[in-house]
Amino acid sequence: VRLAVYLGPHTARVAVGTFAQKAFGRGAETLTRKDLPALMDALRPMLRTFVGREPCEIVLQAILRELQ
Amino acid sequence: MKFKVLTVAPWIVACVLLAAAALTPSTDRAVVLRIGSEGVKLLALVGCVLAALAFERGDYMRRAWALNGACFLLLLTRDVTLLPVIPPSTTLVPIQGALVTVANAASVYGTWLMARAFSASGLELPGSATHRRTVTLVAVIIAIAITSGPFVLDVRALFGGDAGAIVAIASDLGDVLSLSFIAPVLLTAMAMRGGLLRWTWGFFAAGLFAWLVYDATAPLASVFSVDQGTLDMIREGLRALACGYIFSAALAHRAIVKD
Repeated sequence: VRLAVYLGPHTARVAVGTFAQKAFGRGAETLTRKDLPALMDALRPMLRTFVGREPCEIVLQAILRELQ
Repeated sequence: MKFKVLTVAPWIVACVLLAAAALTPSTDRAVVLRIGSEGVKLLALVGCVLAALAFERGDYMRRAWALNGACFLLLLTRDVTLLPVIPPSTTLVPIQGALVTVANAASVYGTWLMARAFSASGLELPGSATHRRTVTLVAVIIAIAITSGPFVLDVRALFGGDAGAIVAIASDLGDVLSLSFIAPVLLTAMAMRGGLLRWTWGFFAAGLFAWLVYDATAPLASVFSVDQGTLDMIREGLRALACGYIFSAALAHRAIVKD
């Protein structure tokens, strides 16, 4: 939901799927809580491109907090 | 709310400029339009600088906004050399040519960074590769069709001994390249529908579209026999829209990043 605020629901879903595949070689639906920090690392360059370093870190930290 | 204000603001600026020009005696109208032209370029420059400063050094979008801002700064610098207090001189022509050429190069690079932000982020724009290529090709063909007429005339003028035509040629080439990026910018805005960032890319696409129509006015005016006074008004209105939407895109991006 936090990603969707910036990217829209469609692109947010695609982004999580794309970077889950790149980081783990499997779909987002197979991820567990312990995969979250690595998923955040994978999403970081993408989000940083659009919103810059500082807001990117704030959003990723918030996502991590909410999901853990 | 603020995004809705940014949506209508360029239209308000354009309408105010045109109303002021229409209410001015025709002998002084060119001055009003000139002031308006410089004002909207300054507005776009301020927007681009504010957006660039919202990002940190090394951020992708900081470079994109800084380059777009550099374009307006260089164009405003060129316009200073056109002030009546500076006597016209042949030595100014290469300086003006260099300023416009570098301004257009900065605009092309900045627009290209906006257009490829999606792929630079590691994502793919929606639709098949064939679909994306087709949409891009159509945009390129439209951009070439619109700018080729003035380009041919300017090349002829250059070979006819008019050294000042180099300024117009640089502008024509910059236009065709920048306007070719409308398709990926628009596709980015559409991909982000429902998200805040759609405003930035949507406004930027609106700005590019206004420039496209601006370039189309010259060939269309000759077809429909529009007089020079009316054409100047239409073109300055479109310039205000184009610069206004670049300003809106920049301010929207700053608001998204800072809030």
